[in-house]
Amino acid sequence: MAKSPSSTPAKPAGTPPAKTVKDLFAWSEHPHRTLIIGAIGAIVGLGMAGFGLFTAEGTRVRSVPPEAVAVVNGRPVLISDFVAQVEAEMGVKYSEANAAQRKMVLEEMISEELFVQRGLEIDEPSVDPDVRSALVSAVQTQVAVDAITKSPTDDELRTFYEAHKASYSSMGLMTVKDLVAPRGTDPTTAMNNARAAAAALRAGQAVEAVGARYNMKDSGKVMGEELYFAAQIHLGDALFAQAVKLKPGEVSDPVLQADGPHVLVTVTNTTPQARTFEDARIAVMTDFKQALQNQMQVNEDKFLRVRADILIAKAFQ
Amino acid sequence: MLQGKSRWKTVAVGAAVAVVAVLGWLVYRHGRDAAMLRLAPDSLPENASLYAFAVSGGKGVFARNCAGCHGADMKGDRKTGVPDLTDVDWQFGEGRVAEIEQIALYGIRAADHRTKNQADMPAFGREQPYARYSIPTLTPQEMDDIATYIGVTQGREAEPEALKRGIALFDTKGQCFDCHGNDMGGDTFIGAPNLADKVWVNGDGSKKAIIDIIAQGRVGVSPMFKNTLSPAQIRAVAAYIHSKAIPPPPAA
Repeated sequence: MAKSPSSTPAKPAGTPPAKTVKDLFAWSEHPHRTLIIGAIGAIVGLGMAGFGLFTAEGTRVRSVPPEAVAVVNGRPVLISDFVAQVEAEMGVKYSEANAAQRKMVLEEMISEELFVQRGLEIDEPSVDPDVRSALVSAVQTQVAVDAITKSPTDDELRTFYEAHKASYSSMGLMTVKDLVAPRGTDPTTAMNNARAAAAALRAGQAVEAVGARYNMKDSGKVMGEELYFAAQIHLGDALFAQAVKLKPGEVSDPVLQADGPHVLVTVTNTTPQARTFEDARIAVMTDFKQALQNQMQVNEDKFLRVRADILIAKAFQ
Repeated sequence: MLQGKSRWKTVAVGAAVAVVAVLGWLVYRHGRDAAMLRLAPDSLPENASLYAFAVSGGKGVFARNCAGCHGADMKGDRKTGVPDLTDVDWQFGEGRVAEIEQIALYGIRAADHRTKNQADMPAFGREQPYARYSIPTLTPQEMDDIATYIGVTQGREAEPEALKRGIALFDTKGQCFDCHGNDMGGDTFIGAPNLADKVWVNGDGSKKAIIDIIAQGRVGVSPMFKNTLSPAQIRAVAAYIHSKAIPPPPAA
């Protein structure tokens, strides 16, 4: 039924219409609506940010992915790692580990993950030299991992072999006797004896007899057949340089060293022979990978320097 | 012939069916992956249906990521020291799914603290045989003697004195026993091969090949796939490799 117009009292002209209670709570009518919405938004945002910042709850993952046994601050602990850790720590197969053992290992893994994350938060690499060193080493390995695990093709290896052919030879071998005057011998007498011994050896006399006759003894530096590099270490550079030039049966001139004059008699001397690619394949692969690793690490260093902001004080440039 | 409107209706229904089918397949696939991943790896072979699902998925993963080195037939390459994955002679572990999965995840001598990287075969003929710590080089005669000793396990005759020296060197200066064991049985925890079983990862087991290994060393590697393959792909390829390592039939 329509209301009669006379049922509502007439308002004086110019008077604003009175607001009902309903009007006051009508959102569309609220004079500070924008301000209030903005304030609520800011409060909620700050709350969420603080919650996330100080508790990590804000970034919480609500479910554990199927491949994980747990998630620690968003980082999954893989079932595979958990199984491996249980087996390594308990010394039994995972299926044989009991619930308490599994629980213990899981708690340890969670603790480890928490400590690792905390270590990063407090910038442990800047504080602890061991962590710092391990980090450097880890990054170097990470950089070189492609080289380490790369399977070079035959063509790559052959190219490398051709470029470094001189490095691929059979092992140089020598058997040498090294006579030296005993300590304390007068230097002039020792040198004369050494010269006489060398002459006697060249004349074909036996090493032992010559040593006894000219008061020279085996230096004991080399024993039996040795690889070139081993002989070089044992004899020293100067004596090795003489020995390597001698053919089997040849005798060196006396070589004066700090401990007196030496005379070398070469019994065998097998000089290194170039190896074919097939024969040297494993050594080529090892060296190829090493060279690649070195190159990658150098490149990484260059790359990091290019993108870094490094300032060096004038006095140290 | 369908009128314009009806034709579009049919196309729309067909497309909707296709989308639903694809979505259904993805959901099914995701569900199977999740079920496969929730199992402890070694439990997978006990679940025939999931194991078959994993093996079929692993075949393609292997072809794309592993066959380059191990070969499509998984037989490896003894020239480059890539192991045969079908011969049940495992260098690391016993061939369980869990062990294979760990290698697929973290590799061998790769850049992760969980990688297999406990020891290397030293190069006794090089000036610095071992990068991890100092050990002595061996003379050619000593390497020859050790190869003689190892050769006996391959059925070769040996001169008694050389054999005696080889045994002594194996247990002392060469430190071979430390990784390969006094019985030459190897150690699958660190990846030291069995030297007595006539299965060779590197070379053909000839004396020359053995001396070459002693002189030049070996450092086998395998990439880690943790960052390039999904957990489901890694579980699947582990199951596939596991399925191909068939034990020989028992002797009659």
